Amino acid sequence: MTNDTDLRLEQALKTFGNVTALDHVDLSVRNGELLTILGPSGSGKTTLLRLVAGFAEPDGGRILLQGRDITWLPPAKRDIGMVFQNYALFPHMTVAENVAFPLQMRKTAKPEIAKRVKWALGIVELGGYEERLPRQLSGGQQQRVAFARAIVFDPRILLLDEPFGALDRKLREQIQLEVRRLQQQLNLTSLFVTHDQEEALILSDRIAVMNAGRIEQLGTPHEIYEKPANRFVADFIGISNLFSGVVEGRDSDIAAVRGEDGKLFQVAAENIPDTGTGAVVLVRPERLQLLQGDRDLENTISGEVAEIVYLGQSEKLRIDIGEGRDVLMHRQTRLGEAAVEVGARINVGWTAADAHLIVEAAGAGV
Amino acid sequence: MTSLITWFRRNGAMREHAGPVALSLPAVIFLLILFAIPVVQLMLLSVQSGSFEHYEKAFTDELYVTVLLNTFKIALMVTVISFLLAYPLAYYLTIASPMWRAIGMFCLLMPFWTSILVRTYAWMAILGRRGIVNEALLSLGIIDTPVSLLYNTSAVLVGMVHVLMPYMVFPLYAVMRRVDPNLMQAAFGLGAPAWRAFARVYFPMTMPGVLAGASLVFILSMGFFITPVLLGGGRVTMIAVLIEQFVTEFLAWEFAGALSMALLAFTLVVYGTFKWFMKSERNLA
Repeated sequence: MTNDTDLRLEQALKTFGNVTALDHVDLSVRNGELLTILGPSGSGKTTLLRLVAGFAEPDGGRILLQGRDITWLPPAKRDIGMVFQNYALFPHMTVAENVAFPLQMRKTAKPEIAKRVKWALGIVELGGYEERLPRQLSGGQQQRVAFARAIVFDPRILLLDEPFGALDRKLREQIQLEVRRLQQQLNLTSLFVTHDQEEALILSDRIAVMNAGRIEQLGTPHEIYEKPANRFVADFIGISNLFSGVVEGRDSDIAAVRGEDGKLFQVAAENIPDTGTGAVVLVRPERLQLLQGDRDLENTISGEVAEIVYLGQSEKLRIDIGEGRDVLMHRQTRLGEAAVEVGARINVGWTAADAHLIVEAAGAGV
Repeated sequence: MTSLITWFRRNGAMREHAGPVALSLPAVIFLLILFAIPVVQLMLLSVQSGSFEHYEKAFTDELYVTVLLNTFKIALMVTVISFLLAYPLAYYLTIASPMWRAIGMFCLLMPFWTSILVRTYAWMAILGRRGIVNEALLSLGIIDTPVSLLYNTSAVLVGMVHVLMPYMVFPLYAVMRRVDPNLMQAAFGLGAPAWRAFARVYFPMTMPGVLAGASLVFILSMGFFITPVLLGGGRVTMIAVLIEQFVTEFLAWEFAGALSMALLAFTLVVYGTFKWFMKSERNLA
């Protein structure tokens, strides 16, 4: 574990006045992985990135880069490649000059600079654009120049600060995959900051979900989505149907949770807490099934269709289950199936295995 | 009349321009009567005799050439000194807290609300034989007899820089405020020590402000009159002083006209040079 760790934050603390931006954060980024810091604005993710880059100093804790303590090192000496939110290309320099800049600062020999610049621009498929100025490039091309400039000097780690925010949707998806492919191809350890959960799920090896200066959960995209550690993560990632309740009993690996409205839910879980523990049942909209005829599942709920959003290959339903509560359902549409209409009363259900149990009480789970 | 109106209406481009033309008319007429016509008259005056003898004299007589060169030299020095003082100040104003920025701006603007004569006399009071500086140095025992701080080039430079520095600060401040702070962070992050980040990124990006400020200060310096007369005490002759002497003392309007034209031509050349630099700078940035 320690050997393949490239970047390590130990009890990193940063406060602004009486606001704690980073609350004793521990984090390890493994060699070659792309780790995403995902969180809403004000969660501390940008502060974390600035500490790693050296643009801010921590009030406590240490930052280690490949075993070396860089906590107090100026940014210029850290050997970190960074792609900024708005790219921060030098507007008065050509593409080639921009990419050559970090090498010139390292006093690399001229022929070597020419070689490296050619290599980096080749990697991002911008050969032939050497003499252009940044403002003569499209947003996507500027993004790629910024990437080339960040990797040309073979940095120890790559930092990406919401680098796709300024691109339009279609281009963004394309560039995201491109960056991911290059990151893997070059085996670049990367720390990526974003507030866009979809982006995080697509790109990351692991995701650290941040909130209020703390890491709420660290895991693979799959773990974060399917097994959120707490209500915040469940709410922040994807769409969730959440039912609060109390654990009432267990049957091997199935927990029984009594909902607030008296309804009993069956949830598969690895670690089932003691009876009486507060818990939340999570079921994703796409796990809900429409129950017709006498079909039954471990969990059922009935309600009135309040709204339908038709998306072609699928449709989204908002189902009013009474007492002002809604359940969201996302289902595949099938030909030859009776269409669901707004206002209709329907039964929906889900299996115990399709639900996830979030333990609310402190000290359990996580 | 109606035909003229319909012609205006038909002509789309003309209709588009009619508004701006009408709005700028008062200023154009004002400048025409009070500036363009007198300048042309002065020019005609200088060649009234039907020959270019006055120009020949202005450009060959060693005295006048010396004064022209001296004017150029002083204008250049004022520009350089203003730049060296204004650059850090303008930078400070961009990073200062709102309160200190307001105070700085107030101090910069205050000279504009004070008569240039008052300011120049104030410098005489400060630099004179019995001025504040000499009194202070005498009482501290650093000197025995008052040193002459007035009536030399240094005094003229001090006075001119004092008057002209705001013209350097404001264009610099305007440009510096627009420099994206991320660019400097990017430079640091990419391995640039502070001074190289400044030389390679910050300074080139503020170059348009440097050129704008420098051209303003230089051109204004070239025609400076009151400060060289009062603080130079007749020992520091700039071309505007010379022109005034020829008009009021020798009543040699023709020669004064020739000198004025020389100053105007020279100023235009300098202005053109700055413009050219600014244009190539814009093409880059």
